Amino acid sequence: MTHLSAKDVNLKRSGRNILKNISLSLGSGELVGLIGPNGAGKTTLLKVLLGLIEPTSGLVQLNNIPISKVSRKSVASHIGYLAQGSPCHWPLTVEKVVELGYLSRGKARNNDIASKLSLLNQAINKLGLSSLRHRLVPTLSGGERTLTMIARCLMGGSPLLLADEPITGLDPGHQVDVMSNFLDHISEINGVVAVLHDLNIAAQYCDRLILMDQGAIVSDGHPKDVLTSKNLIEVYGIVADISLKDGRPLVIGHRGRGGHDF
Amino acid sequence: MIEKDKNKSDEINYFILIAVLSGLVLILFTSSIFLGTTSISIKKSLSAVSALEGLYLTIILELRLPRAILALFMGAALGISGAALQGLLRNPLAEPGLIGVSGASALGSVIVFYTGLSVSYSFALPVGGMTGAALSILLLYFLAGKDPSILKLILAGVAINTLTGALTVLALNLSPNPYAAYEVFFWLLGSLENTSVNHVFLAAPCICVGLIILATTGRGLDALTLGEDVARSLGVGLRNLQARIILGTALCVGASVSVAGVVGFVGLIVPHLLRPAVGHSPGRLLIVSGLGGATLTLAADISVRFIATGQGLQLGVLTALLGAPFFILLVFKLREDD
Repeated sequence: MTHLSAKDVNLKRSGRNILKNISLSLGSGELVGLIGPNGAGKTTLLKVLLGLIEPTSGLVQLNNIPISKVSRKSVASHIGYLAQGSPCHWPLTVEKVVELGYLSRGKARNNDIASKLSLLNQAINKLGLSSLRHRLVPTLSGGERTLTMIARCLMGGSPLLLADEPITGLDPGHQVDVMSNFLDHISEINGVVAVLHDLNIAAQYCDRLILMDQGAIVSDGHPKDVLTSKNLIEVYGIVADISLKDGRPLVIGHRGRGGHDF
Repeated sequence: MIEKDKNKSDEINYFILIAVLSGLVLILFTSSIFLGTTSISIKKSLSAVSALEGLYLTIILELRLPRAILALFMGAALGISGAALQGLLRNPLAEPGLIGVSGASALGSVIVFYTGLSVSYSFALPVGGMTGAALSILLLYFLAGKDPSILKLILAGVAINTLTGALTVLALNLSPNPYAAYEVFFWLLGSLENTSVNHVFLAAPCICVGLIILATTGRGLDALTLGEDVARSLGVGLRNLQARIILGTALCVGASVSVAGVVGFVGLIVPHLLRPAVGHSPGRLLIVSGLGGATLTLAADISVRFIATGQGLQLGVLTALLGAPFFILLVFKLREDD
């Protein structure tokens, strides 16, 4: 069981407070949606949680050990990371990129070619990438690229996955594909934190939402407690109709803070 | 099962490529010993070697063999350095000569040469070259490393090249001895002529260490394809990787330049030509580019012996003549891709 927590984390960059007093606890088998307006600090928070950025003050702990004391290899075996925009600088094949995920399993097991190949086939089949296997990643559509990167994370086998805007720019079909895959990931292993912009998708798939604004956590809990009209107008500046469907909120924003009708 | 075969055939192709390139290197290395303005037949060479005496043996042992060994090491050094820098900066235009690493290395050697350090300590020359190379890579990384855009890299490279070029010429201007300046000028153009066994002892160990260091960076470079953050999330120690590439490249390029001057474009052309053959994997490209670089440099060094010019064509001039049009083609291709 991987447990990741942040306590009173602050980050200052050139006089600006990018993260303010962030405290949270992750990793109990849930799909967590990290929501908030552009520039709220969501991407930065993920990087701090991964130990890629050192906070100005506060503590990030992986299984109760400060993450700055944990080696990169050990962090990799616990936390997978899906970067925004799924960058790939050379035209590698889908198969080769998925295979790179194996790096986070460490060196010791890397010599076992047979188990590596079966993991590779599993990850590729699970995301329905078999037909794209030998395609070059930069020639794929945004959705296919994201699916490739998720397969890469599955290949790595890290129990916790932090995904930065995994469904932004994807068509509805691919959005559902990606979110369902996250649910599978949870039932199989441990937890996923996904930065999301679509509030309804967030409400539908996640059991817990964390709402951020201007570097601070505004609300953290079940979607119906987070997506309240008060929060939506304060954070996003939208007046919204909120109805409940199967116990989960459905949000239709219809007027901006400026008073313009949508 | 088909997938399994495909995976296997990739592996096999990689080893076939290495075997073919190694074969080429071996053939060219042998030719390099037997071919030259003084023609020595294999029979004569063998009898010279077996008799352990005579003019031919002197030519082979003191001129041709060091030259062939240096061409081999220098080519491997330039090829693998180009591949490693391209991987680190995630940019196909990164090349030791083009981005100022060779120029800075030459400046380092020239400074050592003029301060007279090279007379008292023969090892000062490669050390000067390596220091120059390492400083330029650090500066380059500082200027363009975080953002792997082609524009930034070329701008930073042009800046370093111009500065080191100007300082080198300034050093030549200040030289009290015009003949020495003339010598340095030709050495800067890149040549393996007049190299001796001493040069091999100076450069080969440094290059060997550099090659080994760079050959271990494959996994890290592969991971870096997905960006710095993802590479770190996969367990790659980025600082360690950067340090190894800077050290390895400095050893390779610094030692090469200090004994044979600036031989440009090998580090650009070779990785670029071989990249598709290894499925664009920056890790696999390393060793293959080392062998390819050795092949190209040995071939070029044999060619300059037979191209008749008064002074003997400089190796660096030949590679630049071949390389510059290639570079222009590459830029055109990048423009089309955009």
